[in-house]
Amino acid sequence: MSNHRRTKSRGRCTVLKVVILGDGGVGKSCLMNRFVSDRFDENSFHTIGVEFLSKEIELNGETYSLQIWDTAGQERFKSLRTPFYRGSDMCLLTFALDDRQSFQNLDTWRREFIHYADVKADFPFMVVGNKLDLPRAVTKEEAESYCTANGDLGYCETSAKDATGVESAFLACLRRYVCTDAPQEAVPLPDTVQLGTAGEPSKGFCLSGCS
Amino acid sequence: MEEETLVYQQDEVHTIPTSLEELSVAGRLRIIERRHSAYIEWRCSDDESNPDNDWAVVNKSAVTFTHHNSSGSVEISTPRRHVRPISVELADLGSYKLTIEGSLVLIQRDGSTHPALQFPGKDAEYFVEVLSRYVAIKRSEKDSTLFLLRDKKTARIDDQLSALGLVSHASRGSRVRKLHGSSSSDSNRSRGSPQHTSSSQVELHSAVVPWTTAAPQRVMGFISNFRRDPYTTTLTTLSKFYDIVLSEDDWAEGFVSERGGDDLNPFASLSGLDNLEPGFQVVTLKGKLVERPRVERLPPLTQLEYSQHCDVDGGVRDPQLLKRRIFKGGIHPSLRSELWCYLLGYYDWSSSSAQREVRRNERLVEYQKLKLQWSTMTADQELRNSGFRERKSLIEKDVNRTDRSHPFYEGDDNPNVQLLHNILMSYVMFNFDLGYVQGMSDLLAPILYVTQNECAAFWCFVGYIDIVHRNFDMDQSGMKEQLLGLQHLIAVIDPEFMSYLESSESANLYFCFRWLLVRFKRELSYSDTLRLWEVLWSQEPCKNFHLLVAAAILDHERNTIMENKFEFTEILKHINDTSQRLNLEELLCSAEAIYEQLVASSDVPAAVLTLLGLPLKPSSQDGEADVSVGELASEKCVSTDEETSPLESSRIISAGPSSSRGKKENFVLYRRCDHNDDDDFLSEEDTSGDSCGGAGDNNASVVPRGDTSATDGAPRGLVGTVTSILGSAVRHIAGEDASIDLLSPISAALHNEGLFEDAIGQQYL
Ligand SMILES: Nc1nc2c(ncn2[C@@H]2O[C@H](COP(=O)(O)OP(=O)(O)OP(=O)(O)O)[C@@H](O)[C@H]2O)c(=O)[nH]1
Ligand SMILES: [Mg+2]
Repeated sequence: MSNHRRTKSRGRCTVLKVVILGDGGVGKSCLMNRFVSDRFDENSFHTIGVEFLSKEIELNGETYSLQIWDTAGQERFKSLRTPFYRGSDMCLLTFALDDRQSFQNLDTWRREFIHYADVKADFPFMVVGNKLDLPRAVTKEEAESYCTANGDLGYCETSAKDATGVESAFLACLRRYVCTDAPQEAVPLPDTVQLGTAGEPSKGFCLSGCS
Repeated sequence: MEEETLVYQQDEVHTIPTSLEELSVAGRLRIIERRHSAYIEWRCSDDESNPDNDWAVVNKSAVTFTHHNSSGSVEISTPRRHVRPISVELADLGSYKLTIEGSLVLIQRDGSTHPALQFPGKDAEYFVEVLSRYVAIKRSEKDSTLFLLRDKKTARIDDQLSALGLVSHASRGSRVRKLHGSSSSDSNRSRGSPQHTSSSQVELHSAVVPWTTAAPQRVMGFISNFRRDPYTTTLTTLSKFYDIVLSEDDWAEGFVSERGGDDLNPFASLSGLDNLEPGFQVVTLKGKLVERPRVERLPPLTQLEYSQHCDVDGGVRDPQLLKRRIFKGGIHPSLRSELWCYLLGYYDWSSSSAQREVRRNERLVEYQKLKLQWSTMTADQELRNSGFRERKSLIEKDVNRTDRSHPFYEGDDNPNVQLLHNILMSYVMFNFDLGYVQGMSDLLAPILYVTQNECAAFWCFVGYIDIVHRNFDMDQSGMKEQLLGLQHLIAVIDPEFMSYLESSESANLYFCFRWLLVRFKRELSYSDTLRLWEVLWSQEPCKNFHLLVAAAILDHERNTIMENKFEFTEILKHINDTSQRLNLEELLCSAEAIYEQLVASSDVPAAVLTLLGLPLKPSSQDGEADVSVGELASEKCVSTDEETSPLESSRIISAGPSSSRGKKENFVLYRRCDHNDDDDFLSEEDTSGDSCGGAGDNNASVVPRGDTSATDGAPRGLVGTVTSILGSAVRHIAGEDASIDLLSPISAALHNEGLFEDAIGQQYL
């Protein structure tokens, strides 16, 4: 079990921020917990405020530490969760396969994220249809055609309850991230000061002791 | 199986129960070497009894407890709780807390905080010894139970650094005096300036960090900040420098005229801020509170005692007295179901038993009407009522996720879950506009558990929502106001911590959101939640006591947060992890002590007095001290001077009795206006109507306080030199050379100039 992250400066792995979005009750927290500690708690609480867990994951021989942010899905708490979108590297747009409404709301979530995370539409989104173990209200074709129509988003189906597809959903998302070739610096500067014409200010401060 | 080397093992290391109802679980603590790294691991030893692989259930046989006392006994249940196994790579361990009683809490660099473990025989000596083979351990200067870990290599560099003698111990006093002397002759320059008030009012904040020991870290901290963000670091450093030069005058007057030979550190206001992140500064910190008193609490109110409060008809003779008593000790579980009905306004305090009987019957009829309204809604009707449908769907989702590990609500098809649903649906009909908001089910579940009666629970819930309805404002303004109120409180009772939070972009106190929304329910054990709530409902000794409880928790965590140099993300993690580990009685003592402290102090800003509903003190009553609650909710921007308005680009986070002519600034924290995100929680947007419009140049946070002309009185040479050296270093680092030697060129240059000691001594770095 390793729910910790390493700082980038240790040079061993990259910390990536992942945000899980979707309607209340679609299973965001359960997905996160299944992925991080491989457990499903029947008696879990609905989320209040913001929580995050970290987990290391390997891809192509490289280790990444995913810092997974989970917030409350109710509209009322929008002003609380949106500040946390900034600086995200990936986003899981989640709905429940047994809940049509949550599927229909996907686009609201996507737009909310793009707006507040201040990213382009080609951001590595991953659409996740959860609760695969329950009777479907949304077909795979429907979901896939939504993804195709909105800029070829990735699509996965999972069950946090019986663990189907959870790890591979995060992996697939990571793979898309790696492919889009790290669009942003993972650690932005605290403010917008540019160092004149010296180029990218965040480059070149690698600790000399990082080897 | 990977190769492992066991280097330390200790059995019978127990978890420490956080409430009476919990058991402690024995486990095995080990230090293991694996793949060139060392790990600390703890796992409960009792594997067979725990089919759920390695997660320990801390209270599986203690689900129901019986509370006895002279006046009867009552059973009280508590939810099951799990304790995860612990595995921490040593490199990720930032610090640990170890008490003399042998309780150990591991705290990771990312803020993750593990449950407390108890060493057998209170003896952790060998564990620490083994640990110190891998890492350098240093006891915190602020908190004797906190131990900070560093990489051995870094520790060695630090030691070498101090061995180099860059910091000359002997020179400190004379340097300080020299600088002081040079500027005290200039002090008349600013005498006319209104904010430089009579020195008799000036009280310096007295916590001084031993600078000699802190200096090497400060240099290291400065250098690493510099590498990360040279621009802001430079500005910050310079701003502190300017600031000290400017505030010198204040200090000088105090020193010369009143304090005489008093060995006060003129830079005390900056002490503890040596790890200040780039971009922030404290300009003045002068308020000082009296010492916090010791507070004792009482045992819970018993039946016997309660009956003495009642008259022959069963009415309560002196509700205020009884509420005061409930505040001091809470209510014995056997009395709760009755007294909660009073506290939450279902019964009147003065009512006789007969009147209460009437009330119950009336209210039952009323409740049943509400219940009929939603339960007779046809599916067809629902289809045309999206507002209703939404509320219903949220409730259905949430009651299934509320306290389901509590025996009262556990298991499939539990009828009590249905009751939760009924009550919340009826509340939607009672108050459709507010409807259902997440968090409400958390507030209801304990009430239903205590009253064990649907109708009584409903009306008590109505009373509770009346108290906390602002938590559920559509625009969350009630929550924002509370967080701001808490900010004001912290700024008064612990300015050093507040400015630390400022510097780590955490002053918004987001991480307290869950505490406030459901009144600490998610942070406390079930029985503690019941206790805290009845204490809060007593409305004693002041309003918004829950904010004092929040302040007390933060007070408890402040050293851990600051010493670990946690920033926003780490603080959030750490605070979320303190969930279920708080000691309520201790917290209530501290919260009350803080209250007493504020009451006894003369310099409490009006904003805080208003927040707690305390009378404004005479000193703050005249003039402009009438800060209303509305104002309090917004950040204010105050210009202290007409001719020069140096504050335009900064905001006053907390303003005491505000600073007009002849008035002293109690304390004022300035924060750089960061990016304004329209919908950011607590964003400045709400207050954009005020005079802060000048915040265009956001990054120019270096705001000299007071008359800018005072800058001219500063030793120009020093400023110039520091500026140019820092400037050249910025260019150097921003250039190609990524691997500059640790101490050159900054420190070497400074050292050669003979200014390094000055810089350190005066905490510019
Ligand atoms: N059958 C089934 N139930 C699931 C699955 N994932 C989650 N659940 C259940 O769905 C409910 C909601 O799950 P959460 O993870 O709390 O949902 P959430 O998206 O985090 O909701 P909010 O915190 O309110 O935003 C819980 O009762 C879970 O037990 C799944 O894969 N299958
Ligand atoms: Mg959740």
